[in-house]
Amino acid sequence: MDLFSHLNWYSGDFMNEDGEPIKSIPSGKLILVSDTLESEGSFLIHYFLQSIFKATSTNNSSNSNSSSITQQQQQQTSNNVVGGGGGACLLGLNQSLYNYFNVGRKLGYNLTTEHNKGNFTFINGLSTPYRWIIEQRLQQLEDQGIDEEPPLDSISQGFNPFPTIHLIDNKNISSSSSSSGKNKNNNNELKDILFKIYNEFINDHKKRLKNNKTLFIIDGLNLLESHYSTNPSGSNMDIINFLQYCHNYIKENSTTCSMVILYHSDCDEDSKFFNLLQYESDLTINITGLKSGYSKDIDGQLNFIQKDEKNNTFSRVNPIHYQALDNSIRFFSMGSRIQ
Amino acid sequence: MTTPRVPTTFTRKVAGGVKTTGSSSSSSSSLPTSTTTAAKKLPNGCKISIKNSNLLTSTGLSDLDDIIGGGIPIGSILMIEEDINSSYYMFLLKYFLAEGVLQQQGLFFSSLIGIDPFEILNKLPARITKEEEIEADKNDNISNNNNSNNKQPTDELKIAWRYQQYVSNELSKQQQQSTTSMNQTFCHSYDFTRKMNVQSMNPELIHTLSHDAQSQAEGTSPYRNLFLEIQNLVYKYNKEAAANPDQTRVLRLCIQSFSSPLWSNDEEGVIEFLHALKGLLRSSVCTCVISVPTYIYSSAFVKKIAHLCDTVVSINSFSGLGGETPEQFAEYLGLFNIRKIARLNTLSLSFHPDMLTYVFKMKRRKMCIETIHLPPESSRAGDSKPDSETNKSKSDQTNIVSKMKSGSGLLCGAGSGNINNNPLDF
Repeated sequence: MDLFSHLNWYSGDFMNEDGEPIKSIPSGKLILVSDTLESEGSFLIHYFLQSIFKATSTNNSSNSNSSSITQQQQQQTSNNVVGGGGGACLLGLNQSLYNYFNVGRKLGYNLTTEHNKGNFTFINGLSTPYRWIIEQRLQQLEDQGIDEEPPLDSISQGFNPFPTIHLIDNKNISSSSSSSGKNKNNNNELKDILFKIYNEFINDHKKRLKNNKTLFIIDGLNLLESHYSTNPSGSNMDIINFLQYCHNYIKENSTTCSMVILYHSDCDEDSKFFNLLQYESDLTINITGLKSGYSKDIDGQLNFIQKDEKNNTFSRVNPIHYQALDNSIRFFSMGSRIQ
Repeated sequence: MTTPRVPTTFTRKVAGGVKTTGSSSSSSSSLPTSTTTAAKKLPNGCKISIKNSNLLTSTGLSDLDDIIGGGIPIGSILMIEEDINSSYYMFLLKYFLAEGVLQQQGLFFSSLIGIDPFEILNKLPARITKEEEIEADKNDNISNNNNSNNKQPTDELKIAWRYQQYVSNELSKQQQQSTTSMNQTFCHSYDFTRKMNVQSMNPELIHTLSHDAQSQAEGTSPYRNLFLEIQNLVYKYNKEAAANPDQTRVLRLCIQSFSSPLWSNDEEGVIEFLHALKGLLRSSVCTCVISVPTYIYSSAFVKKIAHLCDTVVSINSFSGLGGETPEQFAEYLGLFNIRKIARLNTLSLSFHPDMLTYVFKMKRRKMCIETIHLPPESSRAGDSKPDSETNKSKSDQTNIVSKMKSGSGLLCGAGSGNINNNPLDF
């Protein structure tokens, strides 16, 4: 059993030449993955990445094998590349690239190779995610009388097998700007960052072939929501606008891109923002722990709320259980977990 | 430009090759995965997790190491939720610091509720070796036995005694393990009745930060200043480790009462700080323990903090919670919970514990965290009340008297341990 079949995400277009369904996210969707502290949802991000890269590689291999088959079938397989494979653009606010890379190796894809193929872009939202860090450091170096920042040693630089995009540009920051007020600074900073993320997503999408799918992933929207926004009014308008822009873009390019957002639903006292996210997204996957408490055999439960676009109604899909293992994820219908 | 598809086993090798050739390879956690490091000397006081090949360092308390998956992964943040109205969490912090001193690792300590760092650092527990511990325990037992026959060696099974040999097998196995790993100990034992010799600490490895009101008056968030201090320190240790990879020194960061409102009211700053710290630690040779007075805050804010930390545990004493100690746990002081297990470089949890709730108690010299066992049904029915009474009363005299009164001495005498006295008891 797997997630995509459970959600009936296999349609005629998603079959390869063997009649096997291609396991991937349909395009044109905004998917919200909400999790709690007891059962974290990061495994789904890896699962989606796997579904993209595995599909790409199997299609590649089937292409090379199928030199003898007829023209028509060739045509079909090339169509399938559109349906199954594609690329991903990941904004990682929660984990380091090393984590994604390592899990990827266990799941059978290599992010470095995928990046070299142009299939994977990583936006690093974890190391030096704030302007003030750089400003303070520059200020400090200035006080010590050092003009140029000394290059970092190999450990501090972190794991960079391929170039990644940073949220903050090092170049146009001077230590003097730190004197201005904190709140005002932060507001602009948030807008800058959101604008940058939006642009990176779109660039990444355009870079790919017009008929190749792209998945945008935001790992940890909470950090954007709470950390950068110190709006005096307390609203999250910037984030909401950003998401609406993204959603519109996805709808415009509904054949070629979708978006996945990971959000911790237990972090806010009122669930206004979370409800709004649910309302905006086409599918919400709620991950909760088991009601009976912690178990070694089952990690938690997935609940689904799916939006019907025609009449704008929401419907629930049967919940399922999951268990994340070392190098695979197992899904069970409720009550079917037998040793 | 497509590289040919290779089998996964081969991919792994390619990945390792990329990492070793790339100059920027060795983030802390990548050290163990490259194949060459198997022969390479690990940093002091570190070991590689068998389950997921993360580099671990000890918390100083082997019981705690065991229940969080062997130790704290380098590059991660462990959060301890402080107990209400008592401060047993300080024992955990002291274990963590003392282990750092003995392993010759770097130490950073800062208290955000204004305690002088050296007040803590001068009162770390002294190391005690296994033999000394056994010896001391024996002495204790003898002196106890002189006073009371009540004290029994805990290893002896009261029911199901046929399994006694399994217990002794297990014990001998443990002792073997401790002797084989003697030369490179991962986790030492400590004796809280004695203080660590302050002279034995290397002042160059000890870093503290005390906060006065002046430094906060500058207008910027104090968390930013704290971060800058930590960043400088982390960079310093990273640099040393990068220069001599063979003598990597791990830095332990320890912050007491992090996010205490006494220090700063800046809740945004807390989250900002943790996010930045996580990013900093992920590519470093450091590990961090913070204790957070979570009972002050709403559960939503606590979860926000917890989401940013890697491992979260909480400690709570029965007396601090205000209620009565449950009868079954009379010999324990409180509850110890795991709230979150790290997911570091793994798809699933780094470690699947059997349970999330434990109990802890203070022995004479040390803290013990144990799994919850309910006493056997028969003894619970008959003996639970006198048991709790006997624990309160110290002398054996009253002990026997209370037993006589309750009449439980006549009911097989199980559970309270004076089996040897009466051959008719079983």
